[in-house]
Amino acid sequence: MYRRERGLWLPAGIVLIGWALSLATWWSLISERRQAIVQSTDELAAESRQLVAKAVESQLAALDELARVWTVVGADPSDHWQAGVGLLRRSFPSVDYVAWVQPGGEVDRVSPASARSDPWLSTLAGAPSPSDATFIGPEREAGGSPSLRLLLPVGREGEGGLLAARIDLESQLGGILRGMSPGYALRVYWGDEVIFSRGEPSTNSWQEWWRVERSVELAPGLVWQVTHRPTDELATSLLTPIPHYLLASGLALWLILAALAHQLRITLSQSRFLAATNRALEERGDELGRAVDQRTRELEDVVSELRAFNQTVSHDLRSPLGAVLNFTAILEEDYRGRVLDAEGMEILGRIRRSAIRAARLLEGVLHLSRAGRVALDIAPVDLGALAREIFVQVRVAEDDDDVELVVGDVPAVAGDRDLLGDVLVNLFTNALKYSRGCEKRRITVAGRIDGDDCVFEVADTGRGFDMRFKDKLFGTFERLEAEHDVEGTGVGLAIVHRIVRRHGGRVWAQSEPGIGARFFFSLPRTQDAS
Amino acid sequence: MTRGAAILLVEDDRDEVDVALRALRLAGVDVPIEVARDGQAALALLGLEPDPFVTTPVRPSVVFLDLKLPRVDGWEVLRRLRDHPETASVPVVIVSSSDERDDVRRSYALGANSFLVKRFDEQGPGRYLAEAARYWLELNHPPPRGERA
Repeated sequence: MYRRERGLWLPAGIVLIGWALSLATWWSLISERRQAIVQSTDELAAESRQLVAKAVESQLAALDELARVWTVVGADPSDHWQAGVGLLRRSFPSVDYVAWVQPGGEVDRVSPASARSDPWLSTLAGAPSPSDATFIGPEREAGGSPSLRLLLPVGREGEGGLLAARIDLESQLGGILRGMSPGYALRVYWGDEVIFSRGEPSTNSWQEWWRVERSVELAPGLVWQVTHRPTDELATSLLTPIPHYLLASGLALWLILAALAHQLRITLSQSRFLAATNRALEERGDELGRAVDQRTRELEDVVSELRAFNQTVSHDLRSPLGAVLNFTAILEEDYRGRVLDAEGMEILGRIRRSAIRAARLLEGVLHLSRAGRVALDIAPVDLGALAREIFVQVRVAEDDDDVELVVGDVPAVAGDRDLLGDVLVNLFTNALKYSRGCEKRRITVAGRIDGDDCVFEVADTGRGFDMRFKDKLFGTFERLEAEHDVEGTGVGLAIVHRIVRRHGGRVWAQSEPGIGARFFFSLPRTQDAS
Repeated sequence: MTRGAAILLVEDDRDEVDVALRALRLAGVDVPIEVARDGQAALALLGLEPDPFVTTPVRPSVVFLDLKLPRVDGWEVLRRLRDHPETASVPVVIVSSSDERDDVRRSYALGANSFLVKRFDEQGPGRYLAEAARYWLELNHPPPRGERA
């Protein structure tokens, strides 16, 4: 029967695999994009770092140069100071001021002079002098920008001083980084302190992917962190929604594919069902055809029997009755007024025999009719045992002891025991009648399996028959011998034929005159008992 | 060479044969009568079928032929008889217990000259047969040999 396909494993599998592929593609596209952005950001960050480092280094170098001039010139050349500092501050506008500190910590001069008020300068008095350039800070004054302070030892051994400077970081880094890395939010950290900030990073948490942080080591202990993060504008321009569109289309496409596959599967299943239904119909048709054939054969048998019965009534049954009438009339004519002598007795005997024949014929007809009408009671039958049983009955009924029965191996069958018994009765009776007077009379029963059939054989050692007349053997009231040569009604083999046909089998015979006759009947193995 | 026989009676029922022979005798039909107990024997007697025991075929003046016979039926005998030039013109009287229309029609179609239905004759057993024999033997003028009647 048709079973609607409910299993969703196929579409579910297609959706799962398809979606996994789509997601993988999407991820790969996003990652590639990220990789490209990170690389470009990285390059920008490296460039920024270099610029910052270079700027600070050159600033330091300039201050160093100033200190060196100081060391060489010594004393107090105010003009030189003014010129040097002026040049320095023009070159580096982020340098707020430069101060000269005496070896004792006293601030000697400050340029510009307004910077003298910086409290940090007063803290230098009495403090130990550093032996190397030292950065202090960063510091953020209230409301001001972050700044860095620098101490640079100056002078010869034992009589040097310090060069102190304050550098405005915002101004300095702004000058370097303002035009750098457009589209990125830049931050420069010194420790936790933000010493420079430009632009606002995107608020999208995804942007953390593109965050690139590089350290810039300006001097021992002076390490800045420069971070690059894309701004919203850049993120919008870089992050095209194409991968998302691809992902959405992919998911939708695979859903559609899964639905199509499911539909295809249902269609295939339906077509398989239709094909199966077709086959079943064809088989049913064949079955019906076979049933019709079988029914037709049965009807043909019935018609043939009816015709035969008609003939029997009009011919076979009429003849003995005619004989009874004829011989009665002859008896009357020839023996009127006389006592019956031997001939009269013979005539009477003929009358009696004719009457017996008529009775037998009627019995045969009734038998044949019964064989065609009675409902089959199919059960396993041991045909070998049945043959022995029937043989005893037939031998007694025919008063014929001078015959031997040989039963070989016979396969088990299923059939109507009574009717199969009738088959054997008629075949044995036939064998006895047609072997009467022959020497070494023997009836052999054998059986074998032949394809879908079990074939049984009853062979005798009688006079046999001419194979030319084999087709007439099993017809109703057909006889191959004249009535008085072999007594019988001509119904026996017709009964055999009828019973075997009703079991779905067939009958046939072989013979060689003078050697014996072999009667065969087949029964379908579908009725096998085993 | 053939044997001239007046009557060939083809009948398997011995009672019918005896009744017929008695009726012919009582009717004074005193001619040779050959009896065949089945169709094959009849064909053998007529020389239409090889038979080691029949050396000289019979050429009867009339054949009384039953239809329902063992081995070879009456129609087949009739057909073979008519097919053979030597026997094509022999008068054939069908004697059957059947009065079925089809049987009668078929018999004439195959060349039967007459069709008698077996009956109990109130005038005497087999009398109708004896009278038919006398007609064909004494009143009927047969065609020259070898020609169809």
